[in-house]
Amino acid sequence: MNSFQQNKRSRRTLLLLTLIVFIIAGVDYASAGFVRTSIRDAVSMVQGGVFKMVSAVSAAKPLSSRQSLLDENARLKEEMRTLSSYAIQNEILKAENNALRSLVRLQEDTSPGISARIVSSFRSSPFSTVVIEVGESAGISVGDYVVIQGGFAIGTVSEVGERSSLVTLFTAPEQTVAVQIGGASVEMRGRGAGNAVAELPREIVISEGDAVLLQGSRFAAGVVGRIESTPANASKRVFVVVPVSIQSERFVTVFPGAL
Amino acid sequence: MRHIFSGVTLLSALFMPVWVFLVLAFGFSLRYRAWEVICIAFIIDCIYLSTDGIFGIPFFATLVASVLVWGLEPLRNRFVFR
Repeated sequence: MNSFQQNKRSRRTLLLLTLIVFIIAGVDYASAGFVRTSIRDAVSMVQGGVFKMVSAVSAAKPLSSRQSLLDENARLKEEMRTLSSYAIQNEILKAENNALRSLVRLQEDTSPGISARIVSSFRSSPFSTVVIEVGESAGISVGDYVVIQGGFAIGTVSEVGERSSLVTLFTAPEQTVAVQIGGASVEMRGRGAGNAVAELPREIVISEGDAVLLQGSRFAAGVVGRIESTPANASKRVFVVVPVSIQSERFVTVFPGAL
Repeated sequence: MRHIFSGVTLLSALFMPVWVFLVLAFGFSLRYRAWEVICIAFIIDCIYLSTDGIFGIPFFATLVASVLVWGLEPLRNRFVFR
């Protein structure tokens, strides 16, 4: 086969496979995500296995002392982060308490939540989403809150498979959620790459570190980071941050029907 | 070589930061008529994107990959298949 024929054949293969992928995509779209939930279930099983294997290997005894020191260092850093998040959490609880008092319809949610392992990497997701290892079989449903340690809700379940679920972070592009900042109800808008902003009237007095509470729930979406305000503008921009490193989280708690 | 390239690109899509995948996908598409990139992008969409899509586009990564692979065709023809 000469190079011209080879070139023609590879072009035909590309065209054919592009068509096949788009046909499968069409089938998935028409079946409201049947193909993707099946693929996600399968990949979640594989990734879950890989993560278990990696953690088993890294927890093995015959490792070098340097590695164990590095691990201990990382563990102590994580502990420090956790303790500082508890301090912030205290402030959040105070603010939450005040906010709850002002709510007309206070719901007592005493459900313990469902613990789930994160099986995808935060860094690998181009759309600010993560996959967790529990699904419909564990009682997860769309709209459930996904909470990390410290009581910060990081997103909601947007799609559920049999054994895995897709979580869309509040910081995902175009993602909006109603929050309370400084007693004012506003909309927080995700901007991707771990960023979210909210617009607040200028007269509302807030400061960095104030709690950002999810409207109608007992969880915080983060704390106030930077505040941008200009005299020419009637509103100010508030950047919301989560004081805990989300990327280091391996487990989350899902609260079914937390709203 | 092509199999190694596609294997590394797939692993980067699952376990590495997004930019690593983008660099590999670009390089792979530049060197070969990489239908694998479209398939891997489809897998990324299936894993990480909900049915609603992003910016109203349900298969965002697949579309971007298709544009990349087909868009690089003239350049590839000029430099690889002379």
